[in-house]
Amino acid sequence: MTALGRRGFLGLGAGAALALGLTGCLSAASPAARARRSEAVIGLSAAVTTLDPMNTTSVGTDLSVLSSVYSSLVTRRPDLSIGPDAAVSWDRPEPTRWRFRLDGNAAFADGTPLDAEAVAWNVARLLDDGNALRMTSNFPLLRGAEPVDAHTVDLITAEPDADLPAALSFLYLLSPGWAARHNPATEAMGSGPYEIVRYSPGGNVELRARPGYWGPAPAIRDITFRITPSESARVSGLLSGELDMVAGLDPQDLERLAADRALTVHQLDTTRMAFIKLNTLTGPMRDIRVRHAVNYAVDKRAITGSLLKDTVDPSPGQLLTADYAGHDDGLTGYPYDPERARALLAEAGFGPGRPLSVELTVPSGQYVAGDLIVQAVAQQLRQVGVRASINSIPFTVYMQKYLVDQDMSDMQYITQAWPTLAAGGLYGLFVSDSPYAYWADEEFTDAVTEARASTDTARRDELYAAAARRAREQAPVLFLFPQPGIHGTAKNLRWQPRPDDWVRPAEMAWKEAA
Amino acid sequence: MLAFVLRRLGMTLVAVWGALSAVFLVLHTSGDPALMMAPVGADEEQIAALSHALGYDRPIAEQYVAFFGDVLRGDFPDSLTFQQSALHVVWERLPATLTLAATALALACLGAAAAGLWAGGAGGRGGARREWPMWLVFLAQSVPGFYIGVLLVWIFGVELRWLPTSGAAGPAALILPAVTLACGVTPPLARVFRNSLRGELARPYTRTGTALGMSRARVLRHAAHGSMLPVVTVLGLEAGALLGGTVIVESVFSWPGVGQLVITALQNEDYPLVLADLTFLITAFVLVNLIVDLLYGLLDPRVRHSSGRS
Repeated sequence: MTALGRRGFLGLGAGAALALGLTGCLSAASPAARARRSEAVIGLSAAVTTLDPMNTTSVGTDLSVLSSVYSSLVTRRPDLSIGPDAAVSWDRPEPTRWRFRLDGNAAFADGTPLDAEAVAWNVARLLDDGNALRMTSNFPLLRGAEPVDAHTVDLITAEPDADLPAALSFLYLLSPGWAARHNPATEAMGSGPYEIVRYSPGGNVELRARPGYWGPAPAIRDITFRITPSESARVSGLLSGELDMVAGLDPQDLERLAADRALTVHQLDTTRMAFIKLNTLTGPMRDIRVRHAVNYAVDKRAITGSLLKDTVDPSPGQLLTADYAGHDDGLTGYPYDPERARALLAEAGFGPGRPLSVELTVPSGQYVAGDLIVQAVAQQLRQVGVRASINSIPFTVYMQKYLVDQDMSDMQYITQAWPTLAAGGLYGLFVSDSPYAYWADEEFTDAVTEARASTDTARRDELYAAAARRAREQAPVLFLFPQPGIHGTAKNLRWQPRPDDWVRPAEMAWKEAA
Repeated sequence: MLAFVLRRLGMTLVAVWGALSAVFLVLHTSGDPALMMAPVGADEEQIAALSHALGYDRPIAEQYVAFFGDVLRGDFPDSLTFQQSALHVVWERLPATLTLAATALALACLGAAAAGLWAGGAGGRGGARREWPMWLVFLAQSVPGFYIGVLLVWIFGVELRWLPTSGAAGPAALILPAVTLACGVTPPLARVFRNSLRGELARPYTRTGTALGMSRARVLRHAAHGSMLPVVTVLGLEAGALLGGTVIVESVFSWPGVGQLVITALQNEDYPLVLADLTFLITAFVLVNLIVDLLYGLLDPRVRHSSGRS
């Protein structure tokens, strides 16, 4: 004791405590330690803005969190099929009437049953214009709900609506009695597998598995959604083992993440298609030869190979991805053929003496690699003698020009998806009277209009295939590629990657070996 | 003294109003947020209806009057994305930012005091042995804050895995962002303290003290007290850099404070939230400067007496 001295002894003690503390930090930060404690941390790209599931359409953030707390009648599975949630079965007894039979055990956290009356109340809440709910616009044909018995409910549509179950996978159900006494925007009480432990606007969200849940218990007990708006923070969070799961990463970070053996990187096509819209109503793009020329002039494979790191394949000349009902498998894209592009331009009266000048607009920072893709396209157009000047503008200015002023430039980069994955929805953006179209084509519009009204699925698919062929031939866009979906998880986290934006904790589990 | 404080508070209000007006005008000429909020497939009428419901279709002068009318009545407009009081949303995020800024400021003061005392305490003698902390300070000032942040994340988070790099989960998560933020504020403080201390040590009273046999520590204490005025001035100016720094540092470290909030609000064109957020940041900046002015009075009796008479 004398040799060491009192100070030395204290120093040793402090050092030991510090070392213990540091080891504590180290083990607390690793996915393996969280697996032992049945926890997981998920990085979200934006804050959760509301707890009211009917007042948001942000699938990747708000709805992913709320889908853990609330149940819906039906749910979209990872393979994109529609499966049961609170409803065990459903059919269409009449063309404008869908019948749903509910799980008799389905109940809210406070014990009140999730029955036919509760569903009818939720539909009424959704359709009441006075509530001004953001989800309402996804249900243009829904007119109301009628309880048949305690556990059976009918949903009535104005016209036959084959896509209603797909839309209902976005409708999460509140408890009528609870909603009357609480503010659903800031509090939550649902019938889902988790309950919210901590939430404040703009902050992280913590969930805990609910002991009395009527469905199968989720594999992971404690979930933290950490708000990480910066891409570099999401990447370093995965690399440092602080985040167990991040969806929607940038292709530029792919190599860095794939090189880390503690991570699994999933890549697949999303349901969002990227293309360059051509203004066929005014200017040089009225000429179909010019539209074909730009399609031949761009080497799509070179762009997916370099900028998107081979995560996706070029589109086979289609406006929608393979996940949509109504996708035509028989089409092929425009090959890269600069000679043909030059010949077509010459035919249309453009050449070295009279070069074609076009404006190419892109909303800055809005789409994955959008600014880079547009630069590559402009560069390749220059090779065939087209002078494309890039106009990079904020998203709201872009939308103002595109939609409100109806003043779209000759070419504009855009990505489009339709939440219910219905071809009729996405093709609706290309029919003649749509403000999104900038394309007036009778053949395409007639096929889509007839298909949407058709109840015969074989006939409907035939009409959508005809519409797809017409769009391929008329080229109202410069066809590019689906937007890549790149998702990173800790090696031991089991999760089936999805082409859409849902990030559901209940679909995750730690592998036993962990 | 009271009149002085009241006058300064009045000026604070004018400064906040001026700054908010500038931000308001820039925001409202950059586009209609209804376009950001409209669901895919919405047509012009639906967008126009949404824009009308939010009041963004009115002339900008009318919106300006309406906005400040609401603010004066204490009825700050709701956030467009959060659909609740924008002030409340910012208020919820404020503790995180204050914790970060206060920790960074404390670190910066400690660092500046240590570096300044070491380098300036010898009164200009000692050469490189005394000057090396100032080289570190120079280095910290030359490298941009976001770069230091990314570097720290890489070394301590990804490679060594010693410290958390995101999310405000526990006190350990405070270390890296606070150090990063302090790196931007320490250099000017250290430099001004070192120079000021040197100047004091060259003045007759410290020489007299030394000649009378005062210990070195006691002389330094008097000299340090005398050299505080310019340090406090720089501290006030650096409060702005500190608040601006939180915006960057919070983004790098996913720190859920007002800085990260304002970035997302700008991306979403959530004008009321941007304005509410900036109201807090601007008020904080002006208040810190008010406190600095009051500190002058405490540190230097001459200031106190002259303002008391006026």
